[in-house]
Amino acid sequence: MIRDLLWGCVVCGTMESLREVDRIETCEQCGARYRRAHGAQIAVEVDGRGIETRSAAEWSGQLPPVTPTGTAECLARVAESDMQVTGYGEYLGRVERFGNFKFGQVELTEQALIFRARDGEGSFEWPLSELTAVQPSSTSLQIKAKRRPVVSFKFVDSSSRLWEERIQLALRQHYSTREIIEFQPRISLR
Amino acid sequence: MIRRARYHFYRWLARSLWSVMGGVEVRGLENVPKTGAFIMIANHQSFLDPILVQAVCPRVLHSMAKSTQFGSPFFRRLLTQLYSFPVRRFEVDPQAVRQVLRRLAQGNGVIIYIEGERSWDGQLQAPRIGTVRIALKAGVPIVPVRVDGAYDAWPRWHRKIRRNRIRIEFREAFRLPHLESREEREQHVPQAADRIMSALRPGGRRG
Repeated sequence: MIRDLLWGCVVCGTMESLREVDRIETCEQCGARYRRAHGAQIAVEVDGRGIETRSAAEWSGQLPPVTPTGTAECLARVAESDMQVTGYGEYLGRVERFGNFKFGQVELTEQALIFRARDGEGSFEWPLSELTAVQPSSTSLQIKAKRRPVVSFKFVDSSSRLWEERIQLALRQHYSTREIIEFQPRISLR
Repeated sequence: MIRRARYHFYRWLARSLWSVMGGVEVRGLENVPKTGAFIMIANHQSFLDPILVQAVCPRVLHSMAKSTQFGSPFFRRLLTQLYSFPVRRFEVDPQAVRQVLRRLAQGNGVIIYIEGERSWDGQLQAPRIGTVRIALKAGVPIVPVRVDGAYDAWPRWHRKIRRNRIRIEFREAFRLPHLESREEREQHVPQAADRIMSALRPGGRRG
């Protein structure tokens, strides 16, 4: 989805406003329509202003600034166990086995990332100080906290790219006196 | 023997399929060492990169692939047949590092996508420092490979693949200092990362 790349409308600047209407991603706020054009270019059509086609990188440069807090509906699943991978008689490594997805809402505050399951299966909280990695994986986002299993989030109407940048920004503000030099495989500070 | 035959069958299949999807233009094959261990470091624009780089490279490439890809029995079997091994990217994975060093010690070529993820916007992303550390520890030749056109064929944010000509350029191999001590390696990480990334940029050294 284009909204995975462009988490805000590049025309009106509204965050997380792109929704699919008749198979065309459209800004709920201003009505701008987004389509894939030639190659990986993106055409943005605004009524009365015509169509403008630019590269994904150029449109990305027009995005509204990321905020370090927010909420979104998502599917979350936790790695429940590990599995050994072997091949041709050789031990290759371990792979996480995820449980079922739980639908709910994720919230990022200045102190923590919180997931509240919709079906009343409780809530989970990861204080920012305990996060050890933030890792995108295809259209999901994985987070890891100290002594806790890895969790994978799939966003329903939002963008994993936005949430990666959002959590990174929140962590930078949390460790404001030190520089974060990497977010994966572990958060390293200088 | 059967494994190698399967690998070459998949290479042929990938090349054949992409020949009707726009074709692949390959440059710099002379930069791929004919014998001995090397680390190939590539940019990552699309799911197509690992398939097509391995399809056109004359040497068998052992690849580091994200652990979630080994989740299904089908892909686990396919990837291990293709000399892949898993890496957990959300924590330090010593077994993945051991796998790289073991395969290099056996005289093989290992390919690593230094950005760790497909680019969202087609631009080269920051390097994963772990790859640079491995390169400094291994002390084998580094072969940069630049892929262009794969993003236009299948960007990360779109489900559909489109026909497009893909250019794969194997660039001039170089060596980083082989550093045994961890302290020395850490000191060299920034300049080694710069050296690798400058070789991967559009219009970088071609050899």
